[in-house]
Amino acid sequence: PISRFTETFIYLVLCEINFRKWVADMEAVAEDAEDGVREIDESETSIGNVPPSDNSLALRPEYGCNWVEITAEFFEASKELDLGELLHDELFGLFEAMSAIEMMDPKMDAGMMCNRGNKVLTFDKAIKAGVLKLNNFSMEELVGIMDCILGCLVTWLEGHSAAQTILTCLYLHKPLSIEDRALRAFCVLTLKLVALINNIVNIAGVYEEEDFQPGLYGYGVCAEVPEARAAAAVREVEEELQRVVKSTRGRQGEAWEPLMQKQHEDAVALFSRVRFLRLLYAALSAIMRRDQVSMQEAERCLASCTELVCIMQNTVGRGLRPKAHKDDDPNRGDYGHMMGFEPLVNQRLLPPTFPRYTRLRTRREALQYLDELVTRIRQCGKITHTHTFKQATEFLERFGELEPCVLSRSIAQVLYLGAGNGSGTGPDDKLWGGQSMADTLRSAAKQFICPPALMPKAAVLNNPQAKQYVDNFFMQCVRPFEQLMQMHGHNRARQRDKVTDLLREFASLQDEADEVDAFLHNVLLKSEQPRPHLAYLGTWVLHHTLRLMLHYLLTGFSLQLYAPHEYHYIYWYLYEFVFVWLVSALTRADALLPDQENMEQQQRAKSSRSTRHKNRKQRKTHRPYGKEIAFYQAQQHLCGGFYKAMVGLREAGKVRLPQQEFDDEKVRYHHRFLPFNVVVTPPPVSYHTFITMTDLSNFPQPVSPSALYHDARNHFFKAKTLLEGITNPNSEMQAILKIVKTNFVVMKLLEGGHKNEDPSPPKFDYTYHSCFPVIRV
Amino acid sequence: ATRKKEGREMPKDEPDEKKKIQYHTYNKGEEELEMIKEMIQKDLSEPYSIFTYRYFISGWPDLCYLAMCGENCVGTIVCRLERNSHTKLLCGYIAMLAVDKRFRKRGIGTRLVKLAVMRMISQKADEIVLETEIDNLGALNLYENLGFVRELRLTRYYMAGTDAFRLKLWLKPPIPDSSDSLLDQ
Repeated sequence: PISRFTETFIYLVLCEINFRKWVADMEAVAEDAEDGVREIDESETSIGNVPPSDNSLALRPEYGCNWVEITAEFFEASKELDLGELLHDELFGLFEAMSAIEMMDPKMDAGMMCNRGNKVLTFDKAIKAGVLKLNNFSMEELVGIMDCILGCLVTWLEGHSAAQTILTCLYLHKPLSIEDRALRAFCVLTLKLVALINNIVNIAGVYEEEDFQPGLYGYGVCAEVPEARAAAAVREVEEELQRVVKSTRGRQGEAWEPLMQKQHEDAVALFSRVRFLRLLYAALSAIMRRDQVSMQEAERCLASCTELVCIMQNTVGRGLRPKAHKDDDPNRGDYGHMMGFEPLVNQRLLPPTFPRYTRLRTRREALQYLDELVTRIRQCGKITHTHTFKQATEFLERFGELEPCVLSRSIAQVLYLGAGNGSGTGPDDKLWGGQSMADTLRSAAKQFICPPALMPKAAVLNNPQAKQYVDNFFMQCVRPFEQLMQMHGHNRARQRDKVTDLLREFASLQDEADEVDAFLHNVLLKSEQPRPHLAYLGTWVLHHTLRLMLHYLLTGFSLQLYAPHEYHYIYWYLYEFVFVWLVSALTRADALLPDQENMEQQQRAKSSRSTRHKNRKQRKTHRPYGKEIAFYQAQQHLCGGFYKAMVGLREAGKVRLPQQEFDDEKVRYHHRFLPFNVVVTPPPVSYHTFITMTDLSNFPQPVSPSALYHDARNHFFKAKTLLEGITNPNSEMQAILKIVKTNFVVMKLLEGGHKNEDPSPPKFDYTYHSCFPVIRV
Repeated sequence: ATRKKEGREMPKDEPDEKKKIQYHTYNKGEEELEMIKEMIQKDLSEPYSIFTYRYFISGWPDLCYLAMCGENCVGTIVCRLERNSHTKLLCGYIAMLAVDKRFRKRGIGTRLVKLAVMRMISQKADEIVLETEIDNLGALNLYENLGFVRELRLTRYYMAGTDAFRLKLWLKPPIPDSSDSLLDQ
């Protein structure tokens, strides 16, 4: 074992610190050393005789050649230090030293892998060594190589570094040097696909480091080959293979000659892979054009891709598998010894603390992933079927619940919000459908609550100042609502971070909305047809704020952040406040919407008598938000049930509480609801209010767990009734209905004394819904 | 057959499981550092260089505790307390906690955490934080029992691709900033 001081020494030597300064310090310490320390010129140092490898970051030219050995002087000087005393530089202390690796420790020194046995060969070296073929491939080799490339591609898409995935394929380093037409075309298009995906993900901007690593370490992606030419090259190969497929088909009545059969099946295998790649590229390319016709083309390509994956999966066995070596790590699959793949070829490009290697997806896993990816892309493309902002937002919410991959999330964003060239005027800045965000939001507000000021022929349009205010308001709405859409595009865990900032934006927007409403109110009261204009725009913004608050609290459940001893205050907040406010906002919209629409129709009807009769009928029963309100009320009671159930379980001693020493419920509560403090409407609810409102002495006495279970049961029953009254319930409503029914029964049992003596805590089963559990005792 | 214990000295590297556990902060220097390093390396999968240990232990020796069974170290905790430049809060961080396999389920881990937390509280910490894998039920139970809750989920945090939770013990209510509404006290 090397002594600690030597460890420090060796590490400092290898680091880019001021070598002279170190030497000077050492001189001061080594004042008795007879020979003194020779002034070491930077240009004379280097790391032994190892020439830099092809792919390493070149060693600085000033670190030229010979070592000067100072071991003896060094150990002599080190006697000056006390046990445990360390030498460090001003700019290089222990914090920086933490990034140190113990050299030659295989756990830490990623470079050790490169020294283990076989030399790491680059493209050129592999050619020279005769281990890399550029033509005369067998069909098995081609299929095997292509499947491995797909495996690398998939692993990269899952968030791993390109250096340890796709860029471990030597064929992708110099694809134009490949002589075999099929492999060359495949490799060129693969790189172009990588570039395209990089572009999509970057534009959408909804990725974090755990989702995706865009770096390509300086490798080229065949940018000089035009898209059309790359696609054409693949198509040529496809057509040739198709001819082989046709000509080698078995004939009816004749025996299928084995050699011909093999040729046929090999050609099918290769054909499907090559075509899949071309169509996937074509689909993504079409999607980026963001028009109706291209979307149809994309859908056709993707539908074919789904079929082709099936064929690829059936023919995966036809790919060549190299012989396994006995010291193989089974986790590494076959990439290490597959011709054309060198897992460590980029190792020196990576910082030493990088993972030693990435486990690449197996061929079967990769094909499964691609199948699911194609399905996801077809799914996210459906955002183009939405017509309103509301529908688009709901689409993104639902899509997000499936926890889709970064690529499909990015595609949804780009399709709806655009490719954003930033100027604000280009077609890429318009939303899907061609409207600007401001106009879309205007329509959304109108559809939500029909503010009089937004109606056609509105009196307010004659007042230039009022018109200006309204226009400005919607311009101000653009950024927060864009960010709202983007929030839904992030991975679930990151969405919560975004919500905090969003609430602040929406709080400002709320102020604006209220001011504009007030102004318009005054204007309209003085107009020919006096009308109130209170809380129209305000209610619209409030509705979105409340949905954000709801999202924040509910994702706490789906991410499993809350402990059971916290459930009672979370569900209480939802039951007493968030859902109450949501119902109230929608009820207001529900009441105002038909009124406005009727007024509009009346105005039109003035010019046409025959429609007057029709209007009277329509006025009576139209409740546009009936279903939504009922669902919110059901959820409100669901949360009420949970709140009462948790309080009951606590009273019964069945909720495991943390030890008292460090825990403080008031502090926890305030931190959990902290993001809501920026919101003015609705006002934040303090812990004091929580305690006052939930004080058990408020309840009819005596309060026993049974009484609380009874209350919970009633809430679950109310929720059940509301849900059963909804026509055509969606799958979420059906799931919640199931939960409510089960919990009702559980509460009834508990009320009746079931498991009274059993102190064990209940389990919370989130299988039916990630936010609302079935309580199991 | 039972082993005779009288008159027989236990070899130094075999802790006597019946002996009482003593706790103290890091105060004996290099030998203790070695013991801590060995203790942690056995337990935790992430490899740390010697400098990581030095950084924490020489920076915050009073936040490093050892659980001793006689001469043997059977548990240790390593922490840091520093002001966060963004939030300005004094934030405690539990970097490492390890207990010898043979001494588990005796509350040693909990005791070590309590000692460290109490010391950090006495030094005016605002909050205490650590990360752990989402499937590390042992750690989750230990800390949640003491009042830590899951503040954040960190996706694909570890090299193996598993998610982590950031566990936090809030010691003080949040400082209201200027944009906050008034809260009841």
